[in-house]
Amino acid sequence: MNTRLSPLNTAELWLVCAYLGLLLLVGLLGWKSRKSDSLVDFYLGNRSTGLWVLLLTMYATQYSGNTLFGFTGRTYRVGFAWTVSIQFMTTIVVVYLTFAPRLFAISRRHTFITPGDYLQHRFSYRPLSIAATLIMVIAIGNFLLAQMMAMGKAVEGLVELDSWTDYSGGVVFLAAIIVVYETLGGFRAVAWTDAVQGSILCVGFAALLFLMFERFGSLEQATAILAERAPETLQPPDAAGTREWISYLLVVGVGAALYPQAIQRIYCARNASTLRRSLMVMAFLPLLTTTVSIIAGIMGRAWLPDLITEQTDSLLTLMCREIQQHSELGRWLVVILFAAILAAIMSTADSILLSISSMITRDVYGPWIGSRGTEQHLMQTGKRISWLCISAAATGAILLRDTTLVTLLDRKLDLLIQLSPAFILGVWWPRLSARPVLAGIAAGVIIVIAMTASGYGKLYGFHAGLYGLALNMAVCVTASLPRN
Amino acid sequence: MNQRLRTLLLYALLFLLSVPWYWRLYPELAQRMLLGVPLWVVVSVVGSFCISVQTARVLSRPWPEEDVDS
Repeated sequence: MNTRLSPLNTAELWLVCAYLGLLLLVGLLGWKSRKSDSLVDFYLGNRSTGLWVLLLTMYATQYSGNTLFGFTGRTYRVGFAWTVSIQFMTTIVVVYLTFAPRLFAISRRHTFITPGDYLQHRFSYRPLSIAATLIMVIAIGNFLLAQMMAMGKAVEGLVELDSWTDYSGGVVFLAAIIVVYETLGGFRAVAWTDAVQGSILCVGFAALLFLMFERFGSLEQATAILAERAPETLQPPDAAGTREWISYLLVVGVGAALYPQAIQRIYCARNASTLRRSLMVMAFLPLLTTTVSIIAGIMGRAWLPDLITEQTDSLLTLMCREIQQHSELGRWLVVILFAAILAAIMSTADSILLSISSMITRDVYGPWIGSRGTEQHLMQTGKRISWLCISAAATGAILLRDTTLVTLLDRKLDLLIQLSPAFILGVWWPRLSARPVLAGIAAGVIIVIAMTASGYGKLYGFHAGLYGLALNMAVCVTASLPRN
Repeated sequence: MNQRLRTLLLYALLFLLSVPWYWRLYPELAQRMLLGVPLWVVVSVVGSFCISVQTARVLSRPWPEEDVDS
């Protein structure tokens, strides 16, 4: 089955190009609006992000290619059981409540730029800060790779070339646009383009909902078809499924709240009230966004039943193809939807890229170079690191073309939750000390790697990361207790 | 009961209701359709909505840390 979009005509391609040009223009505006050539201006926009930009950048960063392609594909495969995705996205905001207020206050007093700055301030132990930074870089590097792959999948078939050329050409072209506006305007460019992309994403999700109902019929009809053809997709989870559900709530809820780019959005808010109100709106966005991906997955399973597993992450593209062929209005709405898909992917990728660049520059390279590293030198180095990272991610995406997106999602969060004692426990419990935290992280990461390498990414329904976290917490707490 | 404990208990209750662990005990009820989807899905989504409302309610109160505002 052909899972690619029908090629866009010239006018449609121009519209997409205009959108991409707009991103470059916003990047340029971000560069012109810089207040100083300092790291805090480049990486956090001088900590002056207002309510709407903060909300839209959080939204666009949180909802990615995974939400559109990975979640629709997963719903196609497992059915309504993937309703868990609405809950785990909601849980992320709940987890923020446990540490964001305190972290924000501390970050203001001590002018943090990266998550590593907090760890260094809290634990004063460089090996811990560097280890945590490396884990974050590896974990979100994985996520960056997933976004690059999603970009390639999104553009497959847009122009009349062979599939591999479309995919790899799309990855390289879009990666180049991201890195250009990111290195031009830094955080300001990323946040402003995220605001544009977040708005387009909202319109795109509404367009997707409209197009699906218009082309395929109601959700009720789709469910009735599934009740006959694939009744297992309507079943509530059994005991093993329930354990997996709970595992997803914990792993994604805690892990995604600890994305470094998310932590940096805590730092960049103009004030606590701005951050608080942004999170308030964020609490409702899973219901408006993830629900649409689930509906798309269910509709796809009902109306396009013959996809093999490898094709399911391309379900959305396939549905768009169906809609494109159905009507002229559909063709144009698909262009908007396509822009939204690109928006979701690129807005996540640019935030990750900026975050990786800031962490390597500030937490690894900065301490190594010491006083020789002026702010300007570090900024230039950060920009070079961005180019290197995106080149590596684009190459990886081209080489790993057929890996499914949710597999990539699982692995990075298994690693990131190992940092939760340092951040969440760390802001509350003064007795938590550095060496136990580092030992706990090491134990947790070893468990994750060992389980994953031996084929136990999940055991008894629970993610490897949770087993790692259990040991990690035990080490942290027991070794911190005797201190006093 | 202090406010923090009440908040925690309310979250625990909402998660307990919205995680569909108990629907296997009532298979026929779980499969009853409402709004075009199985009832257990509706309950789970409504549960998520209630968690969002509770989160927004918690966030509607100023943080003690807001005196750090620039």
